[in-house]
Amino acid sequence: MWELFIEPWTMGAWMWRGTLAATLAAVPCALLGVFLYLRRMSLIADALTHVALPGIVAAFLLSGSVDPFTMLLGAAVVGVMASMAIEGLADKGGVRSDAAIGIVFTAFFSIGVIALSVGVENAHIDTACVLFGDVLGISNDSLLLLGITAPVVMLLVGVFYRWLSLVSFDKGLAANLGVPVALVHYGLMGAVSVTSVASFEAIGAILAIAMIVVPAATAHILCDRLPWMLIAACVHGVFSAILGMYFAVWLDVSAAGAMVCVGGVLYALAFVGAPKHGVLVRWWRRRALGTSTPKPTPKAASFAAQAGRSKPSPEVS
Amino acid sequence: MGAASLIAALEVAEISARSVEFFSFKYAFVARALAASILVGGLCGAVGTFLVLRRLSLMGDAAGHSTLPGICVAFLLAGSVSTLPIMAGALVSALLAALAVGMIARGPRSRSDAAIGIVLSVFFGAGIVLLSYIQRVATTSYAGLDAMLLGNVAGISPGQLSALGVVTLLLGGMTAVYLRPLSISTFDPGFAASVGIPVRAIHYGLLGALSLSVVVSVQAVGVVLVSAMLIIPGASAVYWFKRMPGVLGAAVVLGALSGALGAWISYIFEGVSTGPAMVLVATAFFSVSLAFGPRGGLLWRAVRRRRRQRVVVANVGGGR
Amino acid sequence: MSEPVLKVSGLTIAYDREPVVIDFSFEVSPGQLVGIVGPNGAGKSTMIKSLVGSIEADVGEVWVKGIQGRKARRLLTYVPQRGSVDWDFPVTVYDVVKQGRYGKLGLLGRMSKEDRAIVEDALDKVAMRDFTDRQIGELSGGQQQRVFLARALAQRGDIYLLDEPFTGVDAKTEAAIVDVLRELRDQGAAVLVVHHDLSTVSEYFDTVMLMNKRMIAMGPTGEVFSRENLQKTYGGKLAIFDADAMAVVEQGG
Repeated sequence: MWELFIEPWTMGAWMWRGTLAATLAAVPCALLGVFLYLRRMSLIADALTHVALPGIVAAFLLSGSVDPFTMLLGAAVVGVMASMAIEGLADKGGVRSDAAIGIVFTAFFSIGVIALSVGVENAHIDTACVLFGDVLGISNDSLLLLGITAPVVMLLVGVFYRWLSLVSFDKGLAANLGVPVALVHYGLMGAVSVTSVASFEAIGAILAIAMIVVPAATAHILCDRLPWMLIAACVHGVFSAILGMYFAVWLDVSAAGAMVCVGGVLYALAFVGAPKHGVLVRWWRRRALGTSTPKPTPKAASFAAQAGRSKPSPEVS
Repeated sequence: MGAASLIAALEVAEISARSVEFFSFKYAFVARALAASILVGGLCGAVGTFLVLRRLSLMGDAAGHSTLPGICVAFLLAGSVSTLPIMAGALVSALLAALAVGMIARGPRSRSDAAIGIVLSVFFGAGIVLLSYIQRVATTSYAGLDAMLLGNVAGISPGQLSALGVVTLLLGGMTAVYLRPLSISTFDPGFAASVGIPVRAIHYGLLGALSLSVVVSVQAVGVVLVSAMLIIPGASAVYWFKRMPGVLGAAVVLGALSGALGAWISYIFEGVSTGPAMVLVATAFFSVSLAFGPRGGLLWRAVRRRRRQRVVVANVGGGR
Repeated sequence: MSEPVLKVSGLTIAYDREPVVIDFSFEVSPGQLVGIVGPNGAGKSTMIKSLVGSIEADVGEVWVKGIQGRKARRLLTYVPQRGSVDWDFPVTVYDVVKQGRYGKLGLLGRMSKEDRAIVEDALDKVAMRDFTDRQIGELSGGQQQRVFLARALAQRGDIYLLDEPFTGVDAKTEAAIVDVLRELRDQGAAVLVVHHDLSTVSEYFDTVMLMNKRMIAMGPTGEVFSRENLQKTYGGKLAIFDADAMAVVEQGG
């Protein structure tokens, strides 16, 4: 039994490197994800991770190099551009905010895919690797990039914790107290873009959203205070990364996909069995109270209501 | 200089020759591709209009991504890339995803945007796991499966095309019949319920229609970008008309045009997948609509704002 | 009377097409407790929001203690409407009140003993000391409102703006909030409260501002809160308001 867990580590450096990379990607994604999630911007994360692709391609086409830091810069710039475009469409163009996300990221992503297939023939950018990651064959450059990005993001979240939490909870008070709300917002967007590029080889563009949203959602069911929620999200991320690696080795399947699946299962467990807010406990409490027909909570109100921009609309169900 | 212009002229000639070829229906597979692109564009445009107006745009994204595990399971069970099992698999997993989003959104402490993100990514992750497994063990050809990611309309089979046609006819007919309850329940669900329109049934019916259209469209545009064809035509159409039939018609036309032009571009330029090409054409239409559309386009907004400011100033002046 | 701490002149704000706040000019001095009264859609919340800077005004100027702009806004303490808060957010009562100190603490400053005393004092004033570890979603509406008032108290400002603090709260909370506001006034703070309930205006406020997109009247409640002015503010709609309110008005005026 124990051999099953120990054996992968004896198979070669790739297991160590892969696990290290996955963990280094999981932690910053989880930390930033908590703030995106709480601000109801989970799907902006979806957009930003997709948009990192054209960022990388643009950086390559402009500079002609595959130097990781150039790409990071490219992705951050394009990421902030995309988030500005999303807000611009929603504020000035009257597009519904969810539609704005959908339009901007698919358009950017399409440009990226086409540029990748037409313009970048001889670059060392592998489409499949960019989309789905290749954590078992992770390059030195990527590992180094993650080794730098992860601690920097952790440090930034630590330093700006008060601003981030205040802006997430109460923008009005934050502005009133002199917090530069817009700067914090675009800083967060930039950080998400940078993190998703740094995590490209580890998890890929499309699955990065899972490493951002799922830990936060799991942690929110379990925790009542923000510091604990941040810790729980990191634990969730690291745990899914390591367990995902095991499954990838045992079953010989895509590592990024396996990590996401483990994360999803952990979320499902929390959803059902969380001690205070889980479905089971809620059901039990309701039965104990003897109230008969429980009404569905009105929480399912959708995007626009969340963005506080306009009328409530039909529920997502 | 002369050589360069000669090469340019040759390229133009080549492109126009290939364009004529594309639109001439000379080859069966080209004709199928063109027909499929038009149908996909129109179908997604119609269904997507309701999604956009109901603020469910990103459900299209979730449904698109979540077809992947179903497609893979169906392949593993059927052992081939034949049309029907694959479509059935895709449909089942898209429906499951739609239900899962609803369940999570109503669950403890959840946010509906996160619910979409969770379902989308976990289903897609499972799909990637299965795909990697298939790539390792498959003995028969799985070549068609890769195309499901970013779309390849040239590879559409007669079976897929007829499925697409049937679904388009079915959903088109149903939209025409149920246009009134659909519009009312989209615009004002509370009122719709009070006059006896089955709002919930319509909601689930729409999710079903969404799943169906995604399933028949993924061969052409791919699972990653099908959401764009759902969102963008509808979002563009609202800039042109103020009444539902007009918006719907404009969305269908814009979608069909984007489909045809996208397929054409991907036919002319080798290596360009159909999905991204269609999306870019649709985005171009969107940009034009956003800028010049008479219903809330940027140009008209600017004009109106100027007028309004004048009125405000005049009012305030008069009040003093 | 002492120098005004808040001066507004010519404030005008328009949404999409129509102006909702038109040409407001007024002054508020320390020790004034002002009720802002008007019908729905009269622009009360909009005006308050533009004072604290979360809505951009189209025309007009705001001076706080003689200064303008961002710095001036930081001198105002704002208690938002309860509806705008995310009650699922993972914060406890103590965390929320602590946020009131963030302005002074900056990014990394540590909570000193004094800061902690201020937070606890604020919690005591609104009688929420026993609930410090509760997640805010687990409180009743009145308790939630008191927590946000406590956060405002912890900011230790001297100009307060409250947006409908009495909406959806129990009688006990309403009384507690009124007590706190009076205490603030007695300590020399200027307090502006957006208020809905006509029947309590004379009891709660010594100064009242009547508005319906334009300012109708502002001054001592006894003089301004009259049937005639209310008629101007509410127009024909006044008939809907209960007889009690009118009785109070009649007595007061």
